Amino acid sequence: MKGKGNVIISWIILITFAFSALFPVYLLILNSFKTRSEIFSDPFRFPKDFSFSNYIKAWGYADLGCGLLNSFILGSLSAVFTTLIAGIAAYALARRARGSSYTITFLMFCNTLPFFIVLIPLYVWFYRLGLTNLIGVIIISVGTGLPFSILLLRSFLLAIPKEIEEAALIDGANKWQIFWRIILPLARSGFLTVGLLTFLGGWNSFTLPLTFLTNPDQQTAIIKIYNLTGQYTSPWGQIFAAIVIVSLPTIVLFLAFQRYFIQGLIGGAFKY
Amino acid sequence: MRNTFIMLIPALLLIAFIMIVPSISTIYYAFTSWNGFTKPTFIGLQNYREIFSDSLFWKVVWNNIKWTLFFLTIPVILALIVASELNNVPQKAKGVFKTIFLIPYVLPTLAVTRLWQAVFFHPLHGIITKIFNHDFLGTPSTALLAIAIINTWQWWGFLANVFSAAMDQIDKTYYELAHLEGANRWQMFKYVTLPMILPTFIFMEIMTVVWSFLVFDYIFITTQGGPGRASEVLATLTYKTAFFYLKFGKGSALATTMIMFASVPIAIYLRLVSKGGERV
Repeated sequence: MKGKGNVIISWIILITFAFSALFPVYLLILNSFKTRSEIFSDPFRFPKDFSFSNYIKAWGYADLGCGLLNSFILGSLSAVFTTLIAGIAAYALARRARGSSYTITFLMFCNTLPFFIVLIPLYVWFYRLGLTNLIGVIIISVGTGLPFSILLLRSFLLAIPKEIEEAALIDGANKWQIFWRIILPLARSGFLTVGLLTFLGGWNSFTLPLTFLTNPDQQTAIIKIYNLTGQYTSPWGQIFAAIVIVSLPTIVLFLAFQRYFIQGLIGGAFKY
Repeated sequence: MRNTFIMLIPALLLIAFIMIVPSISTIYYAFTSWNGFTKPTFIGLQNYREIFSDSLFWKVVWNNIKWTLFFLTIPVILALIVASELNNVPQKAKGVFKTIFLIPYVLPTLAVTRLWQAVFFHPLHGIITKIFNHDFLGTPSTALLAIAIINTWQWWGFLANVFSAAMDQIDKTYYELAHLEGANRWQMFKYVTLPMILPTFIFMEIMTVVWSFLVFDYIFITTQGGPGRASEVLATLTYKTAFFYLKFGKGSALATTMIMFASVPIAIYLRLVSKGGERV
C-alpha cells in the first residue's frame, strides 16, 4: 500500500496543512513586534527594530497584570473545585452507588444542555446576590463543567481494580483514606486531564466573564484584550502583543502535558 | 452502599442549582415579559408569536443552517484527508504533525479571531482582502463565510486528531487484503477506512449539528452579527435581546428555540451513548 509516490504525496499534504496551522501563529508573533503602519504595509516583513514597546504598552493599557491574575484565579480555582467535587462523585459512580445508572444518564443529558439555556436566569439571580464577580464566575464554571468531568473521571476510575481497595479495607482504611491515598494517586492522569482542561477552559473563556465581570478589577485578561478593540481604529500591534501573552500559557501547558490533553479531548470524551 | 451515595450529593446539588433550576426557569421566563429587574409578568405565548412572525428570526435560523452545512462538510473533509495521510508517514512524524495540528485548537478563541480579523480580513490591509480585492467580513453576503473560515482554522486539527485516533484502531490486515485485491487509495478509504471509523464519524457529525446551533463566540467577537444582521445567529440574537435590549423574557424564549433545534441531534446522541454505555 505504501508506494513511494504515495508517501511523497502524503508528506506534501501534511506539510501543507502543518504550514497552514503554524503560519498564522508565526504572523501573530512577528507582527506583535511591529508598529501599526508596519503591520499593514507588509504583514510578512520583519520589523525594522525588534522592540518590546507593544508589549510594554499593552501591559499598561490593558492592565494585563491584573487581568492575568484574574484569569489564573478563575482557571486554577475552577480546576481545583471541579476535580475535587467531580472526583468524589465519579468514584461513587465507578463503585456503583445506588442510582448510578440513572445518574449517568442524567449527567449525559446535562452535558448536552447549552450554556445559553441557563445564562439569563443565572445572570439575574447572581446579580441580585452580588455575585457578578470572579466568585460567581468560578461557581458557574464548576457547575457547568461537572457533568463532563464526572463522566470522564469515571472512565479512568473504572480501570482501577476493586481488589486494591478491598485490600486497603481489610487493612482498616476508611472510605476517605481509600479515596485520598489510593484512588487519587492511581487515577492521577485522569485528575490531571480534568484539571488541565478545566484550567484552560477558564483561562480561555469568553461569554461567561464578558457577561458577569463588569468591574474592571475583576476582569480576566481575555476580556481586557477584547475591550482594547475600538470601533473605528484599533491598536493592532498592542492587541497582538497582548494576545501572544495570553496565548503563551495555553501553548506551553499543551506542549508540556500533551498526552493528558489528547486523552481527555479525544479518548475520554467518547467512552463514558 | 448508602454512604457511597452521599459522595454524589455535592456534585448533584451544584448541577441542580447551576443547570437544572435555571433551565426550567428559562422555560418559565419564556412566557413572560421581563426586564430582569422588576417582577416578570405572564404573557402566555406572546414572545413566541412575536419571534415566529418576525422574518429576522427565520433569516437567523437560516444562518445557523448554513453554518451547520458548512461544518458538516468542509472541516470534516479536510480532517479526513489529513487523518488518512497520517497513516502513510512514520510514527514519530505522525506524532509531531498531530501536535502541530492541535495548536490552533488550544489557543483562546479571542486570540484566533483577532489574529484573523487583523492579518487576513482587515477591511483595507488584510492579506485575503488584498488577494480577492474584497472585504469578506465587512460585506453582508460573505461575512458568515469569513467567520466560518476562521472557526475552521481552529477546528479542523482537532477533528483530524479524533479521526486519526479512530483510524489507529483499524486492523492493518484489512489494508493488506485490500492491497492484494488491487484496491487504490480512494477504494481503500471508501471500503476500509470509512466503514471502520463510521461510529466516530457519525458521532462527530451529530455533535457538529448541536454545536452549530449554539455557535456564539466567533460571531460575537468578529461582527456581533453584522454587518446589519447578515451574520446574526440564534445565540447572538438571544444574547443581544437579553443583555443589550434588556428583554429577558423574549431572550429566554429565543434560548428555548436554540434547544428546540438542537434537541433532535441531542436525542439521537443520548440514544447512542446510553446504549450499553459504550462508545457509539
